[in-house]
Amino acid sequence: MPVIEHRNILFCLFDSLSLKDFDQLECAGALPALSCLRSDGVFFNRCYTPCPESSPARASVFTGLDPAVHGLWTNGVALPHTETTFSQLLKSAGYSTFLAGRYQLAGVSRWTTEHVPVRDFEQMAWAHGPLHRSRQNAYLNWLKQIAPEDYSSIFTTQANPDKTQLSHQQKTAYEALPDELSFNHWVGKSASNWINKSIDDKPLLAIAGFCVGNDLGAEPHPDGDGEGVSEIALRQADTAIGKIVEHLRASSRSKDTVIVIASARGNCDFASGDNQMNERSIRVPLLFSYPGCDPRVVDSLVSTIDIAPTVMELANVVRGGRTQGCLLPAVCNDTEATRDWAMTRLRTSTLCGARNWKTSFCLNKWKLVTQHNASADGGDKLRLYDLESDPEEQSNLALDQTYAGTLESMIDQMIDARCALEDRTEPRIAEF
Amino acid sequence: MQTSKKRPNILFICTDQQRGDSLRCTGATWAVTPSLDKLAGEGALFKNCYVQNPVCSPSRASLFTGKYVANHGLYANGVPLPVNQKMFTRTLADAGYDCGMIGKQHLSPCDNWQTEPRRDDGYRYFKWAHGPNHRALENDYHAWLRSTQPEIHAQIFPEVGANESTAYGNKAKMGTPIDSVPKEAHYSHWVADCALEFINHERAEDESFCLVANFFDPHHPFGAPQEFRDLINTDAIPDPNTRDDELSNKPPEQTFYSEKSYAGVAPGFKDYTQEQIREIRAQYWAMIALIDYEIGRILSALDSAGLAEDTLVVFTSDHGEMLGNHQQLLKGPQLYDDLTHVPLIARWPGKVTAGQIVDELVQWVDLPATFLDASACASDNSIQGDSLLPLITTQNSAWRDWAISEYRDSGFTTDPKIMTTMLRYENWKLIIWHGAPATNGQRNGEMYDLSNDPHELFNLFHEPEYAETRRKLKIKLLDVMAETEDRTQSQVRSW
Repeated sequence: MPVIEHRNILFCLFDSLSLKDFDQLECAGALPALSCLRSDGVFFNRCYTPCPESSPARASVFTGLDPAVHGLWTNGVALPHTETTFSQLLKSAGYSTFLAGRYQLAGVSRWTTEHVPVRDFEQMAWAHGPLHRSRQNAYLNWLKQIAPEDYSSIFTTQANPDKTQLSHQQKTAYEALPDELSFNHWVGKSASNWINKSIDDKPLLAIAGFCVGNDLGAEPHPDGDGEGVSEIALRQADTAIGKIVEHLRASSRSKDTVIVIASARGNCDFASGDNQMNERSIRVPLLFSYPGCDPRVVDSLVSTIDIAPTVMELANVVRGGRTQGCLLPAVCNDTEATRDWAMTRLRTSTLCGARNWKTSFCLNKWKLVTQHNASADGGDKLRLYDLESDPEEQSNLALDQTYAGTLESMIDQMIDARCALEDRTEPRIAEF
Repeated sequence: MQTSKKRPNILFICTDQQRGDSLRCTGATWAVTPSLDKLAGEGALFKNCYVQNPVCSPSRASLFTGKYVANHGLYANGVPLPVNQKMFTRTLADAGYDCGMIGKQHLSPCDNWQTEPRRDDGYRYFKWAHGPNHRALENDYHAWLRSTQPEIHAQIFPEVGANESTAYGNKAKMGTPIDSVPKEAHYSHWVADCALEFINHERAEDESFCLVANFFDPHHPFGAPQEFRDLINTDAIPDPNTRDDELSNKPPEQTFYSEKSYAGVAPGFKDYTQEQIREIRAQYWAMIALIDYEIGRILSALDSAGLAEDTLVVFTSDHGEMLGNHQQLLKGPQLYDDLTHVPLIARWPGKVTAGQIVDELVQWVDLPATFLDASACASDNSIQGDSLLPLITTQNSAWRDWAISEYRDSGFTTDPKIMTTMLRYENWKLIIWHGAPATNGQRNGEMYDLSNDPHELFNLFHEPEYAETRRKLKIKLLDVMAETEDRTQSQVRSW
């Protein structure tokens, strides 16, 4: 077997999984495979997404760019074709690339099929989620074929693009399926099958797009884009990841493979009055596991825009100029010095069309959230939290004069962070 | 007779480094600007037009793309405009306009006498010259000078000599020889000659044109033909706007820029005597007088061709010039009105009410939106600005209440890099000198109450009694920064 100078990458990406929900379920022993990877890998304890909406957050994961730069600023916008993903760069560098499950770098409402660019993947088994009724949903086509009765028990009527809300009946029927018929099992199995079939002399990139949010690929919650976690789906994803890892260990690939576990965004439950900028919405689990890594928990503040450049570095593929992420500490070098700040932006609308724009900025133990709506004032306009003493963000210190200095300093640094995240990726090649 | 259904021609006249207050009609009573004053009287004169960046290339990128500096990718001189950015001239050409560009464009690096490459710009007519001293062999002004005034060309531009240095113009304390040649040999005259050639080009009756005529003056070096210098009464020009010890209350970088301009590349205010500063100012207005004369020729040609009624004429400039005010020269990270406020005149007979003064805060990103709106046939969703036409053709139109200008290490670089952001809002101006994580520079600021201190002499940023206003403006800036993010990609699906 030839020496592989480019490591294989298994990239498991969850749609909606907060660090908080992940921790709770993991502590309860519900996620044995992920627990095992966590204890063997580098785990990031303070990783933030640049956007609490799915599609912008995923575009940031794959491009290493802030949503204000890559252009996919809200759900339903397609990633401009001029942007490149790390999947594409790895494929161009000779990687054999594969996608199973969700990608979501374009809108998929009305059961639209996402046209995943062929420049990103050599092969793909695309499916936005178990209850997303595109005719090209590869999972549903598989389910219909191997378990037609189960399929019929979930979908009792034809797909109607005008009715895409989650139905209780569909959800119940889907969740009653045996694990081996679940979406996440299928994602894992597709990835394993592809790893089996792939030829040995090319490095691999497998993207496993798991679906653990409780919308299950149907229309997001009507009050905005937030999702709780489906415990069943997460447990199934854990089993599926365990099987892929087993499969890798049984093959000759294991010693050259980097496993990345990430979530594009957190969970936000409107029923419980969650704020779309709270820690549960924007702080996500991130872990890297690879042979020879020094297992540890990294407390530095990082962002999911740091994933793309780090994956490129681990794959030993030149990144090119257009990236804003930093190399993740502990994975790419020994120092833990890193950005130490994270900015998250929400630029969406409410049901009635009003602006729902918020910006969050985290630095050390402080978190500042601004609301950009013209009508916002007083306590709604600014929120300042001490995450160390108030991790549940119950006490807004913005109106407390004792913290006036901290508040203004956080405002200053939020302004500077906005400036830092502007598009300056084009190199300066001359003085004028 | 022209039909009213015909799409209007667009004549966009842009100078380089011309202050907003430099015309007689904008307050410079000593200025010799009869053509532009007349143009303003026949159209709308904007009192508060701001550019998105105080140096050439990033500012012009905002003009051509209609995007803010944070988004178009050309954040500094020396950075090429990314290829995926669309120019409004391309959009107009696609809609059937006959497009042309004369003079300096600067959407790509031009130092070391580099030729600016053609882009997907939509121009039929392209007469490029980065500047009168720019020795790219493709400098069309030099080609014209070689054929019309060979002796002058040979004398000023020998094949070898002092002009080989790319920094020649920037290092010159006063005018260089090419600046004071007789008007018939001058760059500004060449721009007008080309404009005449373009305007008089034979077109189909229903074909409209868009001409971008870019003058290099009144950009330094500070020199003009004697004929125009003679028109300027030096004694009528006030002394530079400053006060004793002014810079002690300003960000310390301004002291550095007072000593040397262009981050050390060019002579600074402190290198000049008071008399030399007076002469610089006189030469500046002499250059403007020449421009005005040449613009007069262009507008006459438009009249003679019977096109004035069907042409939207817009006059403006890409940024200002410190001109010794605040003890500084040229331009850089300073976001005084000296640099960010520019003249803007729009004339469109029958459409734009003549003689109106527009007080609203408008910006350069609004210009391409205005041109496409006027054309009534071309549109480009990627433009972030708003058309000015509703503002000047209807009585009541809602308009934004702020303007922003962003400097991002945009001029000659410094260590640490300087990044500054200006917000104009109500009677206030806030200027942020950014710190980490944007740059390693020291975070600082300026704040001016323009109703009581229109010349921006008293920095209130650190004054305790203005702390609440400062905080209010910073929060407004965060809102404006959110407003100016690029959300031009269409949301084609609901999720």
